[in-house]
Amino acid sequence: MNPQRDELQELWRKESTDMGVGAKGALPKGEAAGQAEASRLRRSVRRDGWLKIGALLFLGAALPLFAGRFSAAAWGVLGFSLLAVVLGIFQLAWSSSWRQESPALPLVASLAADLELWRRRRPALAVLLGATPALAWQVYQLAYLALNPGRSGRLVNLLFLTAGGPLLWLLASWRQWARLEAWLLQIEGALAAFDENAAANYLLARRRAGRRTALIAALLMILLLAGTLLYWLAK
Amino acid sequence: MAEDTDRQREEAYLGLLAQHGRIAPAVARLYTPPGEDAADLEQEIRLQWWRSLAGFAGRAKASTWMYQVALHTALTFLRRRRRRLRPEPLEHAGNVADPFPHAGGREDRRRSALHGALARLEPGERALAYLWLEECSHEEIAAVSGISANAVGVRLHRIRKRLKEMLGTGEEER
Repeated sequence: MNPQRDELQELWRKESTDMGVGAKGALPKGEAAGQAEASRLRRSVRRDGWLKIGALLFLGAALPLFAGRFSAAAWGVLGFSLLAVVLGIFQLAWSSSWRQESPALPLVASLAADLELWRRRRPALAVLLGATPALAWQVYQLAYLALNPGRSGRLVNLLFLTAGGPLLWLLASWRQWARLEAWLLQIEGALAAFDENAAANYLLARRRAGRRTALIAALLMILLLAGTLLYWLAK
Repeated sequence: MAEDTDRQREEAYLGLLAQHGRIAPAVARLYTPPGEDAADLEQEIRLQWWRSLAGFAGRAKASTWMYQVALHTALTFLRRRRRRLRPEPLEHAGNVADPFPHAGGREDRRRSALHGALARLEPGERALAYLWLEECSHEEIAAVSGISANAVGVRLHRIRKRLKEMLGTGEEER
């Protein structure tokens, strides 16, 4: 026994020996079993991209319904659906270009590089992912008005059309922003164990994320109540 | 020509695995949440070793490089599991239970308690504690983590104290 060895190190060494945790002499077979969380985010961005491109299917099915009544609302459906498709294609191309991060750096450097990379990607990612529900909402609203032209004068429908989509985009992007912040917090949390300043920043960032989540929840509640109220007033 | 390069890469990989492959299951076990299978993370670590082998080129000690890749992969893996893994404050750490309990005698219980105590450290601290348990020198830990050897000494002093406090509390309860 090494006289310099601590009691805990001795315990750890014995366990390693007893368990015989040795090498399994094999090459990694495919990537299906073990998937890094970063790959999962990339897949979720790609799925969202395909969902946007799926607007083409909707257009294909909906266009015959608009035949002969190409109003401004029908052109709006077409425009917003095509915007969704373009954004989806951009999203797929962008996520494909993300390089594989190198894990072969000292931990602090790797984590700091990850943090910087995701900080730079975060605004665009939040806006892109937040656009999906907003575009779907806008297309639905316009399709409704195109098929029911008599209802386009109602205040509630006008409000939903002009304010609903942009507001939903804003809120969904804000939610995505907070979701991505949780990712960054995890990296900062790991960095915090190595760096005293990072520990303080981590605590501040955690509080900020908590406040934002509470604010988003409150705003959604207010919107829900306002929507219900408008519906009753319109009746 | 390309086949020769592939074979060389494969041989280098298998050689490294034979020498230091035990790092993968040990790190996977350290960073896998209780009740989950560590095989996914273990596989991911092996995959990252394979992928980044070309960038290794023997500039660092093989073990240093393998610790770096394994720990970075594990910390990346943890990002989305933050809430489930957030450690309890030290004062609540009386009952130090191992997520992978050992059946058996006193020593088995002590090992179990050690794993439980490690699971309660912050992920970065856990990396430093693991490297210390693996008997890496301060210089090697500094090379893996990227902080200075002096800072490693200070951090390890605190971490060892915390580990011993947690284990002391756990043993008193038995």
